[in-house]
Amino acid sequence: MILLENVRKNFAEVQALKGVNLKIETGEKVVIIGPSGSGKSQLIRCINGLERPTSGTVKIDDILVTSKKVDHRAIAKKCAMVFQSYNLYPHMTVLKNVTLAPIKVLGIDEDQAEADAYQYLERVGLADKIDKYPSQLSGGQQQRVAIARALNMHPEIMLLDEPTAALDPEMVKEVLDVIKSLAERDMTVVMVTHEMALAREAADRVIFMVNGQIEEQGTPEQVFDHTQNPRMLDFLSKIL
Amino acid sequence: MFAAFKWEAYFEAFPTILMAFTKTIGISLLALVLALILGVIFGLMSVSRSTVLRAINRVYVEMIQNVPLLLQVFVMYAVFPLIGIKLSTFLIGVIAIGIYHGAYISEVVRSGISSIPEGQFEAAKSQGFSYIQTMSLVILPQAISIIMPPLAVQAANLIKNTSIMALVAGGELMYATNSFANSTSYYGPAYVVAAILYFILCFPLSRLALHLEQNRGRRRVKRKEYYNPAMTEFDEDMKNAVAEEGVSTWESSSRG
Repeated sequence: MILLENVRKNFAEVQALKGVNLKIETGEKVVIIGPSGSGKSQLIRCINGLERPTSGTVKIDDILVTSKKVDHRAIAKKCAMVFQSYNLYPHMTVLKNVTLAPIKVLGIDEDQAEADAYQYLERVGLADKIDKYPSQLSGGQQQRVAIARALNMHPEIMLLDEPTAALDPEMVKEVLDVIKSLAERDMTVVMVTHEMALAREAADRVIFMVNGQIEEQGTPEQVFDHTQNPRMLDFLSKIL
Repeated sequence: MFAAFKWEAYFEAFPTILMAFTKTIGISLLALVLALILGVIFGLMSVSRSTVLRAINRVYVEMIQNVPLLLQVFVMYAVFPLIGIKLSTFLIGVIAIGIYHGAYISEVVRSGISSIPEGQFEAAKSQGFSYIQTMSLVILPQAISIIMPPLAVQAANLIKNTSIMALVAGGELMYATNSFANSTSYYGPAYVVAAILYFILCFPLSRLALHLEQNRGRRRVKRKEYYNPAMTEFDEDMKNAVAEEGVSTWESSSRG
């Protein structure tokens, strides 16, 4: 379970998050939408401690993420992240990218980590690319490797920060298909995205953020089809 | 100036010169090791989150870079004995030159690390790597190709700077050359050969720096080709322009 209480994040002049309260149950699939600059990415990055809130607390089960002394290894064991810009390690092959952290952080032995990696890479359709370097792959392939890398940490929680936003249009589908298959697992998934079709199809709950606050949340039907909120309607009219 | 008898006299004294040359090599190697150790440690300090560590690095770099190396050598040679620290000229050379170039190398290391995108640090953090793992497994292996060319330049500069030890009777190549030249007034052969010997040491390093620089450029072009399979006409033009003008234009236009 992920629990955010009164999370605020200030940058010099800007208040990126203005007191967000959020509880995400184990196994829940949550999609966060909203206009750019609404604090979506800040929010998801607070969950695994990439950003430290100015005030408020974030908890993953019994780990207090916002503690100064938090152990990032403990967070990484629960929670993996996929980035907009993939952030694969460019000096390593695909296989190395996917196995490095399981071996060095989780302490899984090399053979096991590679067997797992192979399985996940097969699932994302890239088992034939294990010896390639990230620079030899397309954006869509790189993002699928990044997803396999995250999966190979055997996380309970998967965070995806605009995973398709940097992709060329023709590559979005291959990544979305993989993400959809994640939703079928019992993992907790929190995703920031502009892919409304995916949100509608795969999310248990859609969270709409504006100006650093949660403006509206509910099931996809409630948020997309039955909302009366003028900001939500305005947003939907622009994006659909 | 280059009369045959002068050369004859010079080659009679040549074993002494060669001994001094090996001393130059010795000082250079040990100073380079020291400079590398200091450079990596202080380079890492300069990108650390701790303000104290960053401040210590700044003081070191600014003090060393803004005071002449010769003065630093003189301080060790003339002032240190007054407070009870007596070092051989060989050790003074190793320490003073090592510390001096360590400051420059720490800047090289810092700029190499700073050139790695923030996303790499974030990916490593999100995967739970410790600070040391992040640096040794993810960041430094990528930074090394950026660090190497200026590092080779620093190594060549370091070798040339050992000549400063002549001014404190360092007994290395420049000193031996000078003392031969001054005692015989056969300046021509002495200085020509000394120049050749320094050149032999430094030229390969300069070539290496250039080679590494160009290699990096070439790899970058290659990577870009793979990166964007749906290459537009504009990219194609860029590639042709690069093929014609060399890699430097590409370097500046393809960063990030």
